[in-house]
Amino acid sequence: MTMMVLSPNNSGLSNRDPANDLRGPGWTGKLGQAVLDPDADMVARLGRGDPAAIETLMNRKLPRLLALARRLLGDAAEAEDVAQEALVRAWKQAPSWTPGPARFDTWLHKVALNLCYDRLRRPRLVSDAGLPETIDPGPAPDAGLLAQDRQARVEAALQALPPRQREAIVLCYYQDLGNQTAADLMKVSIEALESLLSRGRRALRASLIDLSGPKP
Amino acid sequence: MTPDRFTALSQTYGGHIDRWPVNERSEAIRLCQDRPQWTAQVLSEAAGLDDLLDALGLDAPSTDLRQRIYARLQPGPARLPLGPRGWGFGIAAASLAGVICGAALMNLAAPDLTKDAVVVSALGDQGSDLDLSNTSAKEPL
Repeated sequence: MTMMVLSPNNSGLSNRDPANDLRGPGWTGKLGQAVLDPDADMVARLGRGDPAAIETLMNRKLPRLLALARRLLGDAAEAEDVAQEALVRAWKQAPSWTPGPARFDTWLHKVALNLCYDRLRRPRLVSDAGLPETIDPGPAPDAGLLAQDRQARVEAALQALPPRQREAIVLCYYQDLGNQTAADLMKVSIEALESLLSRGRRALRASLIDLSGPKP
Repeated sequence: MTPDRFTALSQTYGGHIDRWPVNERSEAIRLCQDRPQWTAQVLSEAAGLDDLLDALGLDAPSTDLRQRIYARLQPGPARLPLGPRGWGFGIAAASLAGVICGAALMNLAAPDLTKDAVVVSALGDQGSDLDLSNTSAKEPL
C-alpha cells in the first residue's frame, strides 16, 4: 500500500505506522462495499478451535478494546470488564462468523461500545482509581511528574467532554477508525460526526490551553 | 480544496493528513504544495492538540487480565453455535433434565404410592365390587 503521509512541518513522514492503518488497502470507508478484512483468517482459525488463534486475538484486540473502554469510561476496572466480555463474545461468535460488509474489528468495536453504553447509563461512582499509571522515566523526576500531570490533565479534559464528543474523538483519533465506520458505529452522518469531532477538539484545546501551543 | 475546508479538516481530524478522510487527502496535499507556509502553519496548530492527546498513554493489558480472559476462552458446551443444531442440543438437554426431575419426584412420592398400592392389591378384583354399606349383613355373626 502506498500511503503519502504529510507531517505538519512538511518533513515527509508522521510517526504513524501505516502498517497499523486499520482502514487497509482499498478501504473506502463505505459499509456495504467489499472490504478486505485483515482479521478474516484469525476469525476462521478461532472458529476451528485453533489455540494459537486465541493468542492472536488477545494480542491483536485486547489492547485496542481496553484502550477504547478505558478512554470512554475513564475507569480501569470497568474497562477491563468490558474488554474481557467483548473478547469472550467474539470467541463465541467466531464459529458462526460469516464475512460481510463490516469488518470483524468494526463488529468488535460495536460490541464493546454497547457494553460501554450499558455502563455509562448506570449510576457511577467517580474516583481517581482509574487515572492512568505512569512509569518514572528515571533520572529526571521533575520530567516524570510533569508528564504525569500532563497525562492526568488530558485524561480529565477528555472525561469532561460530552459523551458523544468523547466517543467521536476516541473512535476517530485513538482507535483510528475511518470516518464512515465511526459514523456508522455512532449511528450519525459524517457531517454530524465531523461536528462532534471539531467541537470536541475545540473544547479540549480550551481546557488545555496552558499546555498546548503551536509547535516550534 | 478551499482553504476553509483545509482548516476545517485540520480542526476536525488533527494535524496529520494521513488521518483525514481518504477521499480528501490528495487535494489537501496539492494545497500543501501550492501554499506550503500557510498549510504548514494550519497543520502545526492542529498538531499541538494531537501531541497532547498522544500524551494520554495507557498501560498494556495486565497479566492478570490476560489470564482471566484465557480462563474463559476454553472450549465447552457454552461455545456451541446458536441455530437449529444448538437448539436441538438445548431441547435434548431440557428433556433429559425433565426425565431426571420426574424420576426424583417419583422417589419422593413413593411411600404414599406404595401404601395405596398395598391396599389396592389386598382388595384384589373384589375391590371394585365391594359395598361397604352391606358388609355387616354379609358377614356371618
